[in-house]
Amino acid sequence: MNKKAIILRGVSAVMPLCIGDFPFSFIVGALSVSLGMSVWQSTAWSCIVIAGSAQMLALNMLKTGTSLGVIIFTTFVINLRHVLYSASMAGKIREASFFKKCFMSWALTDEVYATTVKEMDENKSDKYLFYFSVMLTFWGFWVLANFLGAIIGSSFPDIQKYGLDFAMVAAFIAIVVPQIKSQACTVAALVASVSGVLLVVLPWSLGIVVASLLGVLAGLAVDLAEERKLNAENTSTELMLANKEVGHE
Amino acid sequence: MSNSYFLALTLGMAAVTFLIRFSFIGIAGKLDMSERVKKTLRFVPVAVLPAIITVQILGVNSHMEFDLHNPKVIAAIICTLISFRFGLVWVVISGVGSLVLLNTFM
Repeated sequence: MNKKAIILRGVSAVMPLCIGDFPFSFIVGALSVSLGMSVWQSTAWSCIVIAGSAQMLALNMLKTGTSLGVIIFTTFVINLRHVLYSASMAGKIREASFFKKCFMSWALTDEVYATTVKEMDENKSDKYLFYFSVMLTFWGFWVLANFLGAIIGSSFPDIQKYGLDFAMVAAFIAIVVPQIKSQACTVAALVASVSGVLLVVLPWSLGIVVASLLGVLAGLAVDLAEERKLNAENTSTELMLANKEVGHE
Repeated sequence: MSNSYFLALTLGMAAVTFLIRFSFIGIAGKLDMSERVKKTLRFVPVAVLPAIITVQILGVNSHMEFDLHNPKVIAAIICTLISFRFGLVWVVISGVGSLVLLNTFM
Protein backbone atom coordinates (compact mmCIF):
# COMPACT_ATOMS: atom_id res chain seq x y z
CA MET A 1 0.00 0.00 0.00
CA ASN A 2 1.35 3.43 -0.79
CA LYS A 3 2.02 6.03 1.88
CA LYS A 4 -0.88 8.30 1.04
CA ALA A 5 -3.37 5.47 1.39
CA ILE A 6 -1.98 4.54 4.80
CA ILE A 7 -2.21 8.11 6.05
CA LEU A 8 -5.78 8.35 4.79
CA ARG A 9 -6.66 5.07 6.49
CA GLY A 10 -5.21 6.34 9.79
CA VAL A 11 -7.08 9.64 9.54
CA SER A 12 -10.40 7.97 8.80
CA ALA A 13 -9.91 5.34 11.52
CA VAL A 14 -9.57 7.95 14.25
CA MET A 15 -12.08 10.47 12.85
CA PRO A 16 -15.15 9.20 14.76
CA LEU A 17 -13.20 9.53 18.01
CA CYS A 18 -12.01 13.02 17.07
CA ILE A 19 -15.59 14.10 16.50
CA GLY A 20 -16.76 12.43 19.69
CA ASP A 21 -14.08 14.15 21.75
CA PHE A 22 -14.54 17.54 20.13
CA PRO A 23 -17.11 18.80 22.68
CA PHE A 24 -15.01 17.46 25.55
CA SER A 25 -11.92 19.40 24.53
CA PHE A 26 -14.11 22.39 23.66
CA ILE A 27 -15.45 22.44 27.23
CA VAL A 28 -11.92 22.13 28.64
CA GLY A 29 -10.97 25.18 26.56
CA ALA A 30 -14.01 27.24 27.61
CA LEU A 31 -13.61 26.40 31.31
CA SER A 32 -9.87 26.97 31.41
CA VAL A 33 -10.36 30.52 30.16
CA SER A 34 -13.09 31.18 32.70
CA LEU A 35 -10.65 29.99 35.39
CA GLY A 36 -8.02 32.53 34.45
CA MET A 37 -5.97 31.08 31.59
CA SER A 38 -5.48 33.16 28.47
CA VAL A 39 -6.57 31.70 25.13
CA TRP A 40 -2.94 31.01 24.24
CA GLN A 41 -2.13 29.45 27.59
CA SER A 42 -5.15 27.19 27.29
CA THR A 43 -4.22 26.10 23.77
CA ALA A 44 -0.58 25.48 24.69
CA TRP A 45 -1.72 23.52 27.73
CA SER A 46 -3.82 21.14 25.61
CA CYS A 47 -1.06 20.98 23.03
CA ILE A 48 1.58 19.84 25.52
CA VAL A 49 -0.34 17.88 28.15
CA ILE A 50 -2.93 16.14 25.93
CA ALA A 51 -4.74 14.23 28.70
CA GLY A 52 -8.45 15.11 28.74
CA SER A 53 -9.68 13.69 32.03
CA ALA A 54 -6.60 14.96 33.87
CA GLN A 55 -7.06 18.44 32.39
CA MET A 56 -10.72 18.48 33.38
CA LEU A 57 -9.73 17.42 36.88
CA ALA A 58 -6.98 19.99 37.12
CA LEU A 59 -9.45 22.75 36.20
CA ASN A 60 -11.78 21.50 38.86
CA MET A 61 -8.97 21.66 41.40
CA LEU A 62 -7.81 25.09 40.24
CA LYS A 63 -11.32 26.31 40.93
CA THR A 64 -11.20 25.08 44.51
CA GLY A 65 -7.71 26.51 45.01
CA THR A 66 -5.81 23.25 45.29
CA SER A 67 -2.03 23.45 45.50
CA LEU A 68 0.11 22.72 42.45
CA GLY A 69 1.70 19.61 43.95
CA VAL A 70 -1.65 17.95 44.60
CA ILE A 71 -2.87 18.79 41.07
CA ILE A 72 0.19 17.12 39.57
CA PHE A 73 -0.09 14.14 41.90
CA THR A 74 -3.77 13.71 41.01
CA THR A 75 -2.82 13.89 37.32
CA PHE A 76 -0.45 11.03 38.00
CA VAL A 77 -3.18 8.99 39.72
CA ILE A 78 -5.85 9.51 37.06
CA ASN A 79 -3.41 8.76 34.24
CA LEU A 80 -2.06 5.60 35.88
CA ARG A 81 -4.37 3.60 33.65
CA HIS A 82 -2.14 4.50 30.73
CA VAL A 83 0.51 2.18 32.17
CA LEU A 84 -1.67 -0.55 30.69
CA TYR A 85 -1.41 0.93 27.22
CA SER A 86 2.31 1.38 27.61
CA ALA A 87 2.73 -2.25 28.64
CA SER A 88 0.59 -3.46 25.77
CA MET A 89 2.45 -1.35 23.17
CA ALA A 90 5.95 -2.04 24.52
CA GLY A 91 6.41 -5.43 22.89
CA LYS A 92 5.03 -4.28 19.54
CA ILE A 93 7.37 -1.33 18.99
CA ARG A 94 10.53 -2.81 20.46
CA GLU A 95 12.61 -2.09 17.37
CA ALA A 96 11.71 1.63 17.19
CA SER A 97 14.37 4.23 17.96
CA PHE A 98 14.45 5.95 21.34
CA PHE A 99 13.24 9.23 19.86
CA LYS A 100 10.41 7.49 18.04
CA LYS A 101 9.34 5.75 21.22
CA CYS A 102 9.31 9.06 23.10
CA PHE A 103 7.22 10.72 20.43
CA MET A 104 4.78 7.80 20.31
CA SER A 105 4.39 7.78 24.10
CA TRP A 106 3.74 11.49 24.34
CA ALA A 107 0.19 11.26 22.93
CA LEU A 108 -0.66 7.64 23.69
CA THR A 109 -4.19 8.56 24.78
CA ASP A 110 -7.16 6.22 25.26
CA GLU A 111 -8.34 7.09 21.76
CA VAL A 112 -4.99 6.64 20.01
CA TYR A 113 -4.41 3.34 21.77
CA ALA A 114 -7.86 2.02 20.88
CA THR A 115 -7.42 2.93 17.21
CA THR A 116 -3.91 1.63 16.68
CA VAL A 117 -3.47 -1.37 18.97
CA LYS A 118 -4.55 -3.94 16.40
CA GLU A 119 -2.52 -2.47 13.58
CA MET A 120 0.68 -2.40 15.66
CA ASP A 121 0.51 -6.17 16.04
CA GLU A 122 1.35 -6.70 12.42
CA ASN A 123 4.94 -6.91 11.40
CA LYS A 124 4.94 -4.12 8.84
CA SER A 125 7.18 -1.10 8.71
CA ASP A 126 4.16 0.93 7.60
CA LYS A 127 2.58 0.56 11.00
CA TYR A 128 4.51 3.56 12.35
CA LEU A 129 3.17 5.74 9.57
CA PHE A 130 -0.32 4.56 10.49
CA TYR A 131 0.30 5.27 14.18
CA PHE A 132 1.59 8.78 13.56
CA SER A 133 -1.24 9.69 11.20
CA VAL A 134 -3.74 8.57 13.84
CA MET A 135 -1.90 10.34 16.65
CA LEU A 136 -1.34 13.63 14.86
CA THR A 137 -4.91 13.75 13.53
CA PHE A 138 -6.27 13.19 17.00
CA TRP A 139 -3.89 15.72 18.48
CA GLY A 140 -4.78 18.32 15.84
CA PHE A 141 -8.48 17.99 16.47
CA TRP A 142 -7.98 18.00 20.22
CA VAL A 143 -6.01 21.26 20.15
CA LEU A 144 -8.35 22.88 17.62
CA ALA A 145 -11.42 22.08 19.74
CA ASN A 146 -9.68 23.46 22.81
CA PHE A 147 -8.72 26.64 20.97
CA LEU A 148 -12.28 27.23 19.72
CA GLY A 149 -13.61 26.56 23.22
CA ALA A 150 -11.14 29.03 24.69
CA ILE A 151 -12.19 31.72 22.19
CA ILE A 152 -15.88 31.22 22.92
CA GLY A 153 -15.14 31.06 26.65
CA SER A 154 -13.25 34.33 26.57
CA SER A 155 -16.14 36.08 24.81
CA PHE A 156 -18.53 34.96 27.56
CA PRO A 157 -16.71 35.70 30.79
CA ASP A 158 -19.76 34.76 32.91
CA ILE A 159 -19.81 31.24 31.54
CA GLN A 160 -19.96 29.76 35.03
CA LYS A 161 -23.30 31.46 35.58
CA TYR A 162 -24.85 29.41 32.80
CA GLY A 163 -24.03 26.23 34.64
CA LEU A 164 -21.16 25.37 32.34
CA ASP A 165 -19.07 24.36 35.35
CA PHE A 166 -21.59 21.58 35.78
CA ALA A 167 -20.68 20.50 32.24
CA MET A 168 -17.50 19.12 33.78
CA VAL A 169 -19.38 16.90 36.22
CA ALA A 170 -21.75 15.81 33.45
CA ALA A 171 -18.77 14.91 31.24
CA PHE A 172 -17.25 12.86 34.06
CA ILE A 173 -20.53 10.99 34.48
CA ALA A 174 -20.63 10.29 30.73
CA ILE A 175 -17.07 8.95 30.88
CA VAL A 176 -17.40 6.78 33.94
CA VAL A 177 -20.86 5.20 33.64
CA PRO A 178 -20.04 3.04 30.57
CA GLN A 179 -16.90 1.82 32.37
CA ILE A 180 -18.79 0.45 35.37
CA LYS A 181 -19.52 -2.99 33.99
CA SER A 182 -18.89 -5.43 36.82
CA GLN A 183 -19.84 -5.79 40.45
CA ALA A 184 -16.25 -5.08 41.44
CA CYS A 185 -16.33 -1.76 39.54
CA THR A 186 -19.59 -0.78 41.22
CA VAL A 187 -18.13 -1.48 44.65
CA ALA A 188 -14.97 0.48 43.79
CA ALA A 189 -17.09 3.44 42.64
CA LEU A 190 -19.34 3.38 45.72
CA VAL A 191 -16.50 3.06 48.23
CA ALA A 192 -14.58 5.87 46.52
CA SER A 193 -17.63 8.18 46.47
CA VAL A 194 -18.59 7.64 50.09
CA SER A 195 -15.03 7.97 51.36
CA GLY A 196 -14.53 10.99 49.12
CA VAL A 197 -17.35 12.75 50.97
CA LEU A 198 -16.10 11.62 54.40
CA LEU A 199 -12.48 12.55 53.68
CA VAL A 200 -13.00 16.16 52.57
CA VAL A 201 -11.58 17.06 55.99
CA LEU A 202 -8.11 16.00 54.82
CA PRO A 203 -5.79 18.89 53.93
CA TRP A 204 -4.56 19.79 50.40
CA SER A 205 -7.53 18.03 48.73
CA LEU A 206 -5.82 14.74 49.47
CA GLY A 207 -9.27 13.32 50.26
CA ILE A 208 -9.90 12.47 46.61
CA VAL A 209 -6.57 10.66 46.27
CA VAL A 210 -7.07 8.61 49.45
CA ALA A 211 -10.70 7.90 48.55
CA SER A 212 -9.64 6.67 45.10
CA LEU A 213 -7.06 4.39 46.64
CA LEU A 214 -9.70 2.94 48.99
CA GLY A 215 -12.01 2.43 46.01
CA VAL A 216 -9.32 0.58 44.06
CA LEU A 217 -8.58 -1.63 47.08
CA ALA A 218 -12.29 -2.38 47.49
CA GLY A 219 -12.48 -3.36 43.82
CA LEU A 220 -9.47 -5.60 44.26
CA ALA A 221 -11.05 -7.24 47.32
CA VAL A 222 -14.25 -8.03 45.40
CA ASP A 223 -12.17 -9.37 42.51
CA LEU A 224 -10.23 -11.67 44.84
CA ALA A 225 -13.42 -12.87 46.55
CA GLU A 226 -15.04 -13.65 43.19
CA GLU A 227 -11.99 -15.61 42.07
CA ARG A 228 -11.94 -17.61 45.30
CA LYS A 229 -15.62 -18.43 44.83
CA LEU A 230 -14.99 -19.45 41.23
CA ASN A 231 -12.08 -21.66 42.25
CA ALA A 232 -14.16 -23.28 44.99
CA GLU A 233 -16.95 -24.02 42.49
CA ASN A 234 -14.49 -25.49 40.01
CA THR A 235 -13.02 -27.74 42.66
CA SER A 236 -16.45 -28.94 43.76
CA THR A 237 -17.53 -29.77 40.18
CA GLU A 238 -14.25 -31.61 39.69
CA LEU A 239 -14.94 -33.55 42.88
CA MET A 240 -18.46 -34.38 41.70
CA LEU A 241 -17.14 -35.56 38.34
CA ALA A 242 -14.53 -37.65 40.10
CA ASN A 243 -17.21 -39.16 42.34
CA LYS A 244 -19.35 -40.01 39.31
CA GLU A 245 -16.45 -41.79 37.69
CA VAL A 246 -15.81 -43.72 40.85
CA GLY A 247 -19.55 -44.60 40.95
CA HIS A 248 -19.38 -46.04 37.43
CA GLU A 249 -16.66 -48.39 38.41
CA MET B 1 -2.84 33.07 35.28
CA SER B 2 0.79 34.11 35.71
CA ASN B 3 3.21 32.66 33.20
CA SER B 4 5.43 31.04 35.81
CA TYR B 5 2.49 29.26 37.47
CA PHE B 6 1.21 28.20 34.05
CA LEU B 7 4.61 26.80 33.09
CA ALA B 8 4.93 24.85 36.32
CA LEU B 9 1.41 23.43 35.92
CA THR B 10 1.87 22.50 32.26
CA LEU B 11 5.33 21.00 32.55
CA GLY B 12 4.45 19.16 35.76
CA MET B 13 1.31 17.60 34.30
CA ALA B 14 3.01 16.82 30.99
CA ALA B 15 5.98 15.22 32.73
CA VAL B 16 3.99 12.79 34.91
CA THR B 17 1.68 11.94 32.01
CA PHE B 18 4.61 11.29 29.69
CA LEU B 19 6.45 9.18 32.26
CA ILE B 20 3.41 6.95 32.72
CA ARG B 21 2.88 6.50 28.99
CA PHE B 22 6.57 5.93 28.35
CA SER B 23 7.11 3.60 31.33
CA PHE B 24 6.84 0.17 29.73
CA ILE B 25 7.64 1.33 26.22
CA GLY B 26 10.88 2.77 27.55
CA ILE B 27 12.02 -0.46 29.17
CA ALA B 28 10.78 -2.32 26.06
CA GLY B 29 9.35 -5.52 27.42
CA LYS B 30 12.16 -6.18 29.88
CA LEU B 31 9.54 -6.36 32.60
CA ASP B 32 6.08 -7.88 32.46
CA MET B 33 3.14 -6.70 34.47
CA SER B 34 1.23 -9.41 36.25
CA GLU B 35 -2.40 -10.02 35.32
CA ARG B 36 -3.34 -9.07 38.87
CA VAL B 37 -1.78 -5.60 38.56
CA LYS B 38 -3.37 -5.08 35.13
CA LYS B 39 -6.79 -6.02 36.46
CA THR B 40 -6.41 -3.76 39.48
CA LEU B 41 -5.30 -0.73 37.43
CA ARG B 42 -8.63 -0.87 35.64
CA PHE B 43 -10.29 0.25 38.87
CA VAL B 44 -8.41 3.57 38.91
CA PRO B 45 -10.78 5.59 36.68
CA VAL B 46 -13.94 4.03 38.12
CA ALA B 47 -12.78 5.03 41.60
CA VAL B 48 -11.34 8.51 40.95
CA LEU B 49 -14.17 9.93 38.86
CA PRO B 50 -17.12 8.91 41.09
CA ALA B 51 -15.29 10.34 44.12
CA ILE B 52 -14.91 13.70 42.34
CA ILE B 53 -18.46 13.65 41.01
CA THR B 54 -19.99 13.04 44.44
CA VAL B 55 -17.91 15.65 46.24
CA GLN B 56 -18.75 18.15 43.48
CA ILE B 57 -22.50 17.63 43.34
CA LEU B 58 -22.99 17.45 47.08
CA GLY B 59 -20.97 20.65 47.37
CA VAL B 60 -19.23 19.29 50.43
CA ASN B 61 -16.88 21.73 52.12
CA SER B 62 -14.23 21.04 54.71
CA HIS B 63 -16.73 21.51 57.54
CA MET B 64 -18.57 18.41 56.36
CA GLU B 65 -21.71 20.39 55.56
CA PHE B 66 -23.70 19.62 52.52
CA ASP B 67 -27.09 20.36 51.19
CA LEU B 68 -29.34 17.68 49.79
CA HIS B 69 -31.93 20.17 48.48
CA ASN B 70 -29.50 20.82 45.76
CA PRO B 71 -30.50 20.94 42.09
CA LYS B 72 -27.11 19.48 41.13
CA VAL B 73 -28.08 16.15 42.70
CA ILE B 74 -31.15 15.91 40.48
CA ALA B 75 -29.21 17.07 37.41
CA ALA B 76 -26.55 14.41 38.12
CA ILE B 77 -29.22 11.71 38.36
CA ILE B 78 -30.60 12.85 35.00
CA CYS B 79 -27.06 12.71 33.55
CA THR B 80 -26.56 9.18 34.81
CA LEU B 81 -29.85 8.00 33.28
CA ILE B 82 -29.02 9.67 29.95
CA SER B 83 -25.53 8.15 29.94
CA PHE B 84 -26.98 4.62 29.86
CA ARG B 85 -28.18 5.25 26.33
CA PHE B 86 -26.48 8.33 24.89
CA GLY B 87 -22.99 9.74 24.37
CA LEU B 88 -21.05 12.52 26.05
CA VAL B 89 -22.58 15.43 24.13
CA TRP B 90 -26.13 14.51 25.10
CA VAL B 91 -25.20 13.88 28.70
CA VAL B 92 -23.58 17.32 28.97
CA ILE B 93 -26.47 19.07 27.21
CA SER B 94 -29.13 17.37 29.32
CA GLY B 95 -27.14 17.94 32.52
CA VAL B 96 -26.50 21.64 31.99
CA GLY B 97 -30.01 22.11 30.55
CA SER B 98 -31.76 20.47 33.49
CA LEU B 99 -29.61 22.38 35.97
CA VAL B 100 -30.50 25.70 34.34
CA LEU B 101 -34.21 24.76 34.37
CA LEU B 102 -34.06 23.60 37.98
CA ASN B 103 -32.27 26.78 39.05
CA THR B 104 -34.93 28.87 37.32
CA PHE B 105 -37.97 27.04 38.64
CA MET B 106 -36.93 25.68 42.02
